[in-house]
Amino acid sequence: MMLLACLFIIPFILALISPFAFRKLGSHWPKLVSVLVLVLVGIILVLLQQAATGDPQVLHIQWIPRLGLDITLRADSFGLFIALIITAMGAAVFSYSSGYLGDDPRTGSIMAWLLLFMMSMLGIVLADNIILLFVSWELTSISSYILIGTNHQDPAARAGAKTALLVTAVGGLALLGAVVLIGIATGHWNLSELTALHEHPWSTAIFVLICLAAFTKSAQWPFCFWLPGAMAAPTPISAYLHSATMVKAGVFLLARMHPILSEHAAWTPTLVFVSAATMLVVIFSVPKMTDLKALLAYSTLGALALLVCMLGIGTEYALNAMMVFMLAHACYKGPLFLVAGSIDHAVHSRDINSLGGLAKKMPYTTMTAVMAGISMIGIPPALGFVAKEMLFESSLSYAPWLLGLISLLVVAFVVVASCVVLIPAFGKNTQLQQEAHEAPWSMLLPMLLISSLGLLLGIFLAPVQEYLLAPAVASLAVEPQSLALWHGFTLYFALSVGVILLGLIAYIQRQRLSKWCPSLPSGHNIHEAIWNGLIGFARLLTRTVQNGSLTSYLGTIIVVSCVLILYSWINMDTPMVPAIVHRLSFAELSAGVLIMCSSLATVFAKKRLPAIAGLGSVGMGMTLFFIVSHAPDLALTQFLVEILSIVLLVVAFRHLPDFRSQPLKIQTGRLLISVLTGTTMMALTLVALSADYSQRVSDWYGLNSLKEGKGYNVVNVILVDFRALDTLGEITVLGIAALGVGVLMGSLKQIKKV
Amino acid sequence: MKYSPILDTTLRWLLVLLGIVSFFLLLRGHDETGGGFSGGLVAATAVIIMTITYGAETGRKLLHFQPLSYISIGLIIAVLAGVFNMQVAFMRSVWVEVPLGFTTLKLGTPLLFDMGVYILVLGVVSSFVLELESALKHSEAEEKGEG
Repeated sequence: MMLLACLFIIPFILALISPFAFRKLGSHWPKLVSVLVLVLVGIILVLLQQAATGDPQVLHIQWIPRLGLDITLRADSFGLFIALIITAMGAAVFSYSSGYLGDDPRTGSIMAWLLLFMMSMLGIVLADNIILLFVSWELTSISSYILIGTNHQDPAARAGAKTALLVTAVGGLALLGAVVLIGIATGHWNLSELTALHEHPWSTAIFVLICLAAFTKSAQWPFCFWLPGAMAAPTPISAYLHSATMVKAGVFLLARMHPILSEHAAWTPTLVFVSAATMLVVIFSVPKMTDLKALLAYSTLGALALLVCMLGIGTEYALNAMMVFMLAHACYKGPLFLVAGSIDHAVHSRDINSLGGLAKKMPYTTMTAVMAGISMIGIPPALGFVAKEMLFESSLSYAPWLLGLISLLVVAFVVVASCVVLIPAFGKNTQLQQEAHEAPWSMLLPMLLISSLGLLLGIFLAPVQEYLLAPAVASLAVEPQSLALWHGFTLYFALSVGVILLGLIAYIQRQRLSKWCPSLPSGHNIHEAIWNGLIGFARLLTRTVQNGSLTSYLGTIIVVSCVLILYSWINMDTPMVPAIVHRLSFAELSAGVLIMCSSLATVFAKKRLPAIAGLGSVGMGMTLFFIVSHAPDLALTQFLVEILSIVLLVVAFRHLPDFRSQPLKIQTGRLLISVLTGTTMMALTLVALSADYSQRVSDWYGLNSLKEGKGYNVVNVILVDFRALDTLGEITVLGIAALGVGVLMGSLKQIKKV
Repeated sequence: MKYSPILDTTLRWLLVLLGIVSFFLLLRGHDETGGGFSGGLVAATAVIIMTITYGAETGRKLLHFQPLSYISIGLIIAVLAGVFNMQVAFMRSVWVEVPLGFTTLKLGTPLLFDMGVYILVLGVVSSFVLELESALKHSEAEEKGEG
C-alpha cells in the first residue's frame, strides 16, 4: 500500500520543490529527477510482480466521506503496464530535458508541470474510483494546456494550447457525464466492481459519452486536428505527452470500458469506422508534410487509430495485438520524437527539405533513429514486426477492406520512418550540416536505451510476454495468446514485405503523391466556426448589456425587478385588497395629502430645484406617517436620510444636463419606467398589508427585548442583538456601495482627463 | 467662496453640537430613540456641511482619516463584537453592568456593534459626499480650463 502511495507522493513533492531546486542545481536538476523517477519504475516493477500473482495492491483513503468520494487506487496488471510506459518514458524525457532545455529559466516550472502531469497520468491508469479517474483526466488536460503553451510568446503555441484544452475539456465533460451515469446506473463507483452494462437503458448514453471522451483525448476523427497543433510545445513535451502517454489515455479508457460496454451493439462499428476515418486522414496527410514533428504527429494519430480499431474489433486476438502494439509504439515513437528534437536542437530546423548529411556529425542520434525506424517499419527482430503481423491478422478477421486500409496506413508509417530516419541522416549535404553537433549524453542515453528496447523486447519475446503482456491482457478479462517472433512464410509475412516495398516507393515518389492526395474534412473548421461564433456572440452581448450608460443599467435593473415582482403578484392567490382597513386619522390623512401634493409638484416642476424640494417634501410626509404610527426610530432615520439625499442631490444637480431638454422618446420611456415602478411598489404594499400577520414574532421581541437584550428600545435591540447578523450584512453592503461610488467617481475623473 | 462671518461662527458651534448629538443618539440608542445608524448620519452631517461650505479638502481635514478607513474599521469593530462570545455562538451578546453610584453603566457587545455601525455609516456617507464633490469640482475645473 505504501508503494502505491509513493507513486503519487514522490512526483507531487518533486513538482512542488522543482522551481526552487532548479534555481539551486541548474541543469543537474532534471537529471536528478530522472534518477528519482527511475525509482518509480522500480516500484512499478515490484507491484507488477505482485499483481501477476493475482493479488493487486489496493489503496483506499477516505477523501470527502460526506459525498461518498474516496481515493481508491488499484494496481492491476493493465494499469501497471501503462504506468510502466509512463514512468520509463518520463525518466527518459526528464534526462533529455536537461540537455535540451539547458539553462533555460523556465526549466524549473516545465519540470514541475511535467511531474504533475505524470502524477495525473498515473492517477488515470491506477484509479479504481471513477470520480478519481475523472479528476486525474482533467488534471492531465490542464497540465497539458500549460505545457503546450510553454512558448506563450508564440501565437501558434497559444492557439495550439487553446484548441487542445477546448477539445479535451469537451471530452472531460463527457467523461464526467459518463462517470455519473455509470455510478447511478450500477450503484458502484469502483471500476473493479462494475459489470456488463449493455442491457441497461442508459447504456447508449454512457457509450456515446465514453466515446466522446476517448476520441477527443486520443485525437480520433473528427477531433484529430488538435494533436498536430499541440506540436508547438518544446520537443520533450511533445514526445512525452503527445506520443507516449496522454493521447493513450483515451485508448486506455476504452480498454477499461471494454468489459463493461463491448457487448453494446454500436461498440464495434463505431470504433472501427471512427478509427478508419482517422487512418484515412493520416494516409492522405503524410505525403504533404515536410516538418519532422508534424510527420511524427500524424503517424501518432495513425497509431492511436490502430489501437482504437483493435479495441473495436474486440476479439481476444485483437486485444492481444493492441497490447503488443502499444508497447512497440512506446518504444519507437518516443525516441523518434527525441531524435527530431535533437536535430532541431543541433541545426535549428525540422524541415526535411533543408536537412541532410547529419550521420557523420551526429552518429549516435542516427543510430537511435535507425533502431527506432526499424521498429516502426516492422523489420524482424523488432517488436514492431510482431505487432504488425498481429494487426494484419486481427483486421482480416473483421473485414478484408480493413486489412487493406491498415496496410495503407503501414505504408504511410514506412514513409514517415524513411523521412525521419533517412533524409536528415543520409540526405544530401546542406549548409545546415556544417554547424551540426552531437547532442550531449544526457539526451543521447535515454534515446538509445529506449530505442534499443524496441529491438531487444522482440528478441526476448517470451519473458516479456510472460511477465508483462500476458498479465495485462488477462486483467482485461481476455485470454492471453502465445506470441512468436517468426511465424514462417505466411500470407501476412508476404503482405509485410509488400507493404515495406510499397512504402519505399511511396517515399521516393512522395512529391508526386502529395499532389494527388485530397485534404479530408476534419472537425477543425467546425471548431473554428464554433469558436468564432462564441466570441462574436460574447462581443455582441457585452456591447448590448455593458453599453457603459449608467442610465440604461439602472433602467434595466428597475424594469427587470418590477416585472419579476409584478409577475409573481399576478400569480398570487391572496386578494389584492388588504384585509385590514382601518379608519384614517386626521394626522394620517393630512400626511397623505402632503405626500400626494408634493409628488404632483415634483412631477410637474419646470426646474430641478423645485423638483428636489418636492421630493424632500414627500419624504417629510413619510416621516410624519411614522410619527403618527408611533415609530420614532423609523421617523428619525427617515428624517436624516431625507436630509442627506436632498443635500446630495443639490450638490450634484447643477452639474447635470437640463432634465426637460431630453428628446420626447427618452422622456416617454422614463415615464413608462416610473409608472411601472409606482405600480409595482403599490402592489408590493397591498400584498404586504394583506398578509396574515401572526403577532407572535413582534410579541416575542417585545417580551424579550429587556430580558435577553437588556434594552428598552425594541427596534434597536432587534438591530444590534437579535438580528445583528442581518445588520452586519447590511452595513457590509453599505461599505461596498461606498467603494462603488469611489470607483465610479474616480473613473469619471479619468474620463474627463482623456 | 465668499467669506461669511455668520456662517463661519455658527458652524463652529454647530459642529460641536452635531458631535454631541450624534454621540448622544449612539449611546441612548439601546433604550431610547436613536442608535448607531442615526448617530452616524448626524455625525456625517457635520462633514457634509463642511464640505459644502469650504470644499472637499476641509471635509477631509475634519475626518482626519480616509473615509475608507472609517468603513473598514467600522466593519472590523462590528465583526469583533460578534466574535466576542464566540465559544457560545457568533453574535451572542455579553453585558457588564458597572455601578457608578448615581446610576449603573451598561456595557455590552451590542453597544460595541452599534459603534461599528456608527463609524461605518459616518465613513460611507462622508465618502459619498466627498467623492461626489471632488469629482464635480474636478469636472468643473476641466470645463473652465477648456473654456
